Amino acid sequence: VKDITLPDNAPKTLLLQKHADYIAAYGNKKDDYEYIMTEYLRMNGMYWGLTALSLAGQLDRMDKKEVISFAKSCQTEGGGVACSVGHDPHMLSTLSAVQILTLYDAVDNLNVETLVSWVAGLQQDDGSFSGDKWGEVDTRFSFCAVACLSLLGRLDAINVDKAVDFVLSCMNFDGGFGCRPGSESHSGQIYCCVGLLAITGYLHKINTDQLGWWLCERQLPSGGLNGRPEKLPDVCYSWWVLASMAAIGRLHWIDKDKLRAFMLACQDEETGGFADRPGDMVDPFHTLFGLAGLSLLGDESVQPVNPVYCMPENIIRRLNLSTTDDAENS
Amino acid sequence: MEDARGRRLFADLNHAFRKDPLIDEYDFLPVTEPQNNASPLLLVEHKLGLELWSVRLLFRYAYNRLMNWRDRNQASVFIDPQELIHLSRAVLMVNPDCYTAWNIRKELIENGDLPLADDLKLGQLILSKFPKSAETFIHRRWLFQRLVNQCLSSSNDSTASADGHQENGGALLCMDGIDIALGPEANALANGIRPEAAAAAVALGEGGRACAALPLESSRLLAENLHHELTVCDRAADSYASNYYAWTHRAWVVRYCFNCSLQVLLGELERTQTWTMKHVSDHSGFHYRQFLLSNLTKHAARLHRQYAKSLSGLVDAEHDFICDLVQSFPSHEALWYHRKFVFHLMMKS
Amino acid sequence: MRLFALTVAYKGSDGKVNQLKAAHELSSFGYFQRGSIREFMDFTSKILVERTALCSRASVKEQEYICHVYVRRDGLGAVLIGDHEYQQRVAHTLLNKVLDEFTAKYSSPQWAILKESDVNFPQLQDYLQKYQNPKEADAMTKIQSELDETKIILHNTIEAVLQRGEKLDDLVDKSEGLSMQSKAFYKTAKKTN
Ligand SMILES: CC(C)=CCC/C(C)=C/CC/C(C)=C/CC/C(C)=C/COP(=O)(O)OP(=O)(O)O
Repeated sequence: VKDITLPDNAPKTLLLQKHADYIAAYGNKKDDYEYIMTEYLRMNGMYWGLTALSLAGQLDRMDKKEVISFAKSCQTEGGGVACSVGHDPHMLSTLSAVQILTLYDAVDNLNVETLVSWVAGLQQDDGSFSGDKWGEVDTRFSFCAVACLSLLGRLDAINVDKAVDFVLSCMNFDGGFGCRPGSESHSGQIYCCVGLLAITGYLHKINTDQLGWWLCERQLPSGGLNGRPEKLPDVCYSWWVLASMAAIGRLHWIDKDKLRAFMLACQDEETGGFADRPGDMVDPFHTLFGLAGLSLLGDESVQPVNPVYCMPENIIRRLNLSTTDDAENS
Repeated sequence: MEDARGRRLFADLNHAFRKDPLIDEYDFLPVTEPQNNASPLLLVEHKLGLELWSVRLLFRYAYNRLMNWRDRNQASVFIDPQELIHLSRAVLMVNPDCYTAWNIRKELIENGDLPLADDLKLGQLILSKFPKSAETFIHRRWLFQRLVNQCLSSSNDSTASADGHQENGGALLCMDGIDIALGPEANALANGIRPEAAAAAVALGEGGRACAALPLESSRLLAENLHHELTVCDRAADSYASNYYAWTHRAWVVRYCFNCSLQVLLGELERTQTWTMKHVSDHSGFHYRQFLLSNLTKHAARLHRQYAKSLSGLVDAEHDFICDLVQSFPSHEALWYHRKFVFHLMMKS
Repeated sequence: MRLFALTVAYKGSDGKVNQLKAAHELSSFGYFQRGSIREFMDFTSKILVERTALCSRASVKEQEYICHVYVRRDGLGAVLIGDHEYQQRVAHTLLNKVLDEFTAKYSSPQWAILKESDVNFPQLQDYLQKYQNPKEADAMTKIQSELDETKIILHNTIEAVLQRGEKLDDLVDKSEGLSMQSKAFYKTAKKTN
């Protein structure tokens, strides 16, 4: 079996404060080559970092004003938001911007009207969404569009039924979903599709047992989860897989203790932060999904997280957004 | 100082490409400090090596210059298209997921400043170093869509003269890959694909007939590139196990550009058999066969009529194939999943 | 399933290892990496023959590779480096075969003194090519009875094969078989994993 073994000296407790320190300091290295190299996902990075801090209960460590004005400056005339100033607008960064501003209860800093019509304008005839005006279609973008509009209370701007139909057309015989019809099932894409169905109230269209089974088969002897058969475990799949299982009510099919041990072993004791696997370099992406995953596993030192939006549960509740199937079908 | 060195490296890089237009692979060499006065660029047998320390300087320079231009698009900085092409190339060779740089190239193509074929080549070069670069594959799909549409519109323009070119068509497109039995409309409807795209693919494939309507250049470009694209996918799949991007791209090419023609599906089924046998843990490769088989099952009657193949024969063969593999490699999950799929197909049919 | 290197080496009674012949198939690696990969495969094979007791077999995982090693009672040993898909049983059967044929060609008194450049043993390269093919490999499993009862010891990393207190990094540092370039390659590969 393709897997790893946990080093004996790996961390066994959650180093929450270290992670918060790591994230809070991350933005100080603006001149680093690595920082410039990751500019194409700056907005996503901000969302990862800020959400991680919120889950640690320390959102106040970031400069709220600065964050808001950054997000604002990345909105383009057409309404879409770019990953950073000077870059092009994209669905991925647009969702991140909306999530960030929702954390701060400050979405009206964006031009919501143009943003909504930009998103709606990317829906295709078959119900799918492209990521930007250049036309690439992917179920990730369907999720981004729907999550973003739902956070803004503007799902009415798109054809929800068609969006759902497209996602359902990406379902495979194994119960999973891929990026387009006929594409291989992938835990990340499954998260997006399940999330979309949860938001729109169509979770009952999923074959829960079949999908749940495929998802729990992602757990390896090391305790970690992979994203597809015969791939290495990675902390981020603790989120993509676990959140999907939570959404369809199959969280109890996972060996939680072993998974927890794997995730804790991915922490860096010195620098703080989580890596994909024990011993590798940490980054904000894996740090968020490490904390969010532990939250789903019931760790009480981490704030409860919403498995669909990957945001603190109290914020989703504040917006009155339901993500279970007894919601009214819209 | 740093900027001046970056500018020089950028010039060196452009010079290397001028000197050798056939560069087909590049890599970063593990040299972290400048060596006394030696050039950090190495060019041997069409392979380009860049010392690691220089990559950083090069990227910083090219990226800052390109993004400054982009940022104040309407304002002062003017950069001519040729330099934009070079700057974005330098940026993408180091960081191919910088999607804005690909978009800049799309605009250059739309404006007629950059030949589409050049960009196919750049993408292929980048995949030699980054075989799972998502944005590189996304850009390629845009290029192919444009190519297909170009063929379409030129075919519409010149339908009148179709008869005159009749004799050229067949010879120029030895596209063994395309199905010619169904009319474009029927084929498109069956596969749920935009009829124009289907028309392009089928028109091309019909070689002797509709294809003759296409101007030589664009149809040849499309035909050559489509077949070559499968090889590009092969290589990317070889260099990174379970390469999601390479395999979903390949399926896209088969579906969108080849319109799931039966001939292509059958050809691909044969072609990937050896490949999957040699990559028994590659779930993506097996899933691709599932994609092929699923599409073939939609056309049982035509399979029988045109290729004298029965669906159950295909499924049985797959069953034997996978059971054999499972026996030799019982510990591979990818094989068991594929076996499950084959049983699922058998139950369905 | 891929095979990258097949090596025959002799371990003398003093523990010194003499590489007798090595074959490589490195076309799946980048052009600029092949030289270093080759040096590392030789380096690894040598360490493994050194650290494997007489009369024993082992399969050692190292990242995406698995190194299969067999050292006979008489000190002649062979190492096959492949990927994790390659079947262990086939690998060890191949090691037997190679050692038998090598012995038929060169007798034991020569093993300690032969220089690699003087060894003429083209079968090694042939086998490395031939057994990349799953069909050939499969045919080999049918003659599994040839594989003796020697237990195959499994190790999860090369480090596990080393003596207490020994570190792979130090061995790399000290090695004379590795060029500066390869050592730099090792270090940068480690940093960026
Ligand atoms: C609100 C949140 C948390 C997310 C926004 C929604 C998005 C964009 C989710 C992304 C989901 C995701 C990870 C999709 C997978 C994309 C994909 C096909 C990855 C391919 O993975 P590999 O590169 O094969 O992974 P490894 O090689 O590491 O196994």
